[in-house]
Amino acid sequence: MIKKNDNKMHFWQRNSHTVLIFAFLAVLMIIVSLFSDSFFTERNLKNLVLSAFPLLMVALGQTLVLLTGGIDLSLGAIVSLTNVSCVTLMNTESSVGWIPALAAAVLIGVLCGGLNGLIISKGRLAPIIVTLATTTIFEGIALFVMSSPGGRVHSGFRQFFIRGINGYFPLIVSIVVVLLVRMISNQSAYGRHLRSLGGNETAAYSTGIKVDRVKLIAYILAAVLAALAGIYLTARMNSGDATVGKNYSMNAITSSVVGGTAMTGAIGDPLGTVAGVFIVTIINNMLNLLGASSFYQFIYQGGILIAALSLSALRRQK
Amino acid sequence: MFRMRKAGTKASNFKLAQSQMMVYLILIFVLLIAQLASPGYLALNHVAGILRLSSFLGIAAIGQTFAILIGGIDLSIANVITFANVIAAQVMSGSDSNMLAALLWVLLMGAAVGVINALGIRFLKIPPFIMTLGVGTIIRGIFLIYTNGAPKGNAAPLLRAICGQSMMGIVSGIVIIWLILSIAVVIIQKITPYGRQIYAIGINEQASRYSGIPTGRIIFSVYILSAVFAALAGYFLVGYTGTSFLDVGSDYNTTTIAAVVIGGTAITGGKGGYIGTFAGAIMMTVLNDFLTIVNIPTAGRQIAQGFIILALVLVYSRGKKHNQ
Repeated sequence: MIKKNDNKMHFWQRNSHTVLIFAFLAVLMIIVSLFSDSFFTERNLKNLVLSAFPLLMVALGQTLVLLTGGIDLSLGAIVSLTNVSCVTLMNTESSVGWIPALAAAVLIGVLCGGLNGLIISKGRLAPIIVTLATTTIFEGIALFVMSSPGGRVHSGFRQFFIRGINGYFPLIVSIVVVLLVRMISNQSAYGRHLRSLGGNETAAYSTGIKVDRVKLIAYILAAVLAALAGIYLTARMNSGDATVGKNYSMNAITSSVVGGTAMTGAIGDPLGTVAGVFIVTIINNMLNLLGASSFYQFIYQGGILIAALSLSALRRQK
Repeated sequence: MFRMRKAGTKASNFKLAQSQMMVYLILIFVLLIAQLASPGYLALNHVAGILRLSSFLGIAAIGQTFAILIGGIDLSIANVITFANVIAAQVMSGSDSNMLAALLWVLLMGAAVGVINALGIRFLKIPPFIMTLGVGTIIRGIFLIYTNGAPKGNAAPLLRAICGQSMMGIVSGIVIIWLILSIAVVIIQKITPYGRQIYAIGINEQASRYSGIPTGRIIFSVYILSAVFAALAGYFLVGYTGTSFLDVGSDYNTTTIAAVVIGGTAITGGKGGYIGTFAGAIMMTVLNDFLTIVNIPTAGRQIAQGFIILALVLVYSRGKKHNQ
């Protein structure tokens, strides 16, 4: 009885940032729709999901890593690497020629994440340094696989990814992945371990949590999500490019943090990250819609990041 | 108890000195390998060339060393360098008489960026990683809009001479400037009370505040120093390239952090210093230069560099075991 009451009292405290960030997203959407009549059309909302998809995948992965108190700067490079590998390994002639390419991309994700996770946990090194170095490595391998943008993509695979199920395929995948990641982080035993690691690693170790394994899995999950983004970009761009992922690491950190995930670990909700991703994407879309120079997007993005963080800092001080 | 603690500090001081010395040992080792693989690598004029290349990274890494020592980080460095580069080229526009004005504008911009970074970190309690990332992104927007994608102006002949091949017979003027700055920075970090306070904050900010260290003021000064040195590096880069271009600073966030960490400074702060970063900057330059000389393509160079950085940090910047 008391416990139930407790839960009710803490609901607002626990979810206030997520609720606020969704309110902010709603206000932003309404403001944009005032400037553009076509905003709330089915087609535009579909497009929004299409353009947000890769960032959403990477940001969900980044959220899991941030929850452990770590950071992964190499996710963007993994997006590039899986994109070029996927294109290179695709057999455009055979009707099932996309299967080995997809399998390889996911496997590459597992390997990259595994490398990050192993060096960070077994090597006892700071995640920021390790992933900085592996970024260089993964980018190098991507350049090695494909030195200049190009290649051909299996047309059936492309059609299905972008237009499958009436064009709702990316949306369905997004929803499934968001729910899965949220279940992992908020409802599973693994999620509790993830957060206790981010709260206090030594304490987590003392209570018997297999710290190294929890970390390793987090980096692998993040890299596999980045691989999904790489696969999706293969379909959308219809080609490969060894630098396509360049901005995703930082944008993913921005989205997670705007969505309420703490850089120091333990605190955060994948649902908040979803709102963060759409805020970043809508702002860029809006600038295109208004015909503003793409140069302005940097100012808005930096501004939003600082504004969101200032707000949460001010709330904390109260 | 007291005795044990003292012994502990001594041991960790020794370990620290070791890891900073280690960089120099590894650097010598790498240079010897380079000399064996490509004879003439250690010829006087080639070494002078490497030092000239290292000086820009070295100057930019001064600020990063300060930021990391207090337990922070500065990710606005890359865009501050480019912005400084753009401003310097435009104000100078190829005339010696405008050099001082350009320097003042550039330093002023750097100081302003540092103040903004520090305000967010100190008063809004935004994590340094995010604050400097956000400010860096905004600066990028500002110089893109300001130049409309096409920067104007070029270097003054005098600045070009300072950053040129050799000014005083053997070594470039920029190397001498870098050496003087380095000595000053090492003295500040190792001898002055200000330096000791920086280390104290890096080890434990709260404890430092309680023991009467003006943490706020020092954090402010550190982020201002960081942006000012980045701006200085951007200023001198105009002399190196002759004109300004918008990607000139892009790699510097990564390379300054790598130079600092390879130099034995702990990413968590409080340990290390510029003595190590100095060698770290040369190491980063040598790695890139040597791999280019032995004809390894960009892709292979990147892969090798990443693995070498990992190997170096594995040697001396590992954390404690849980059961220790």
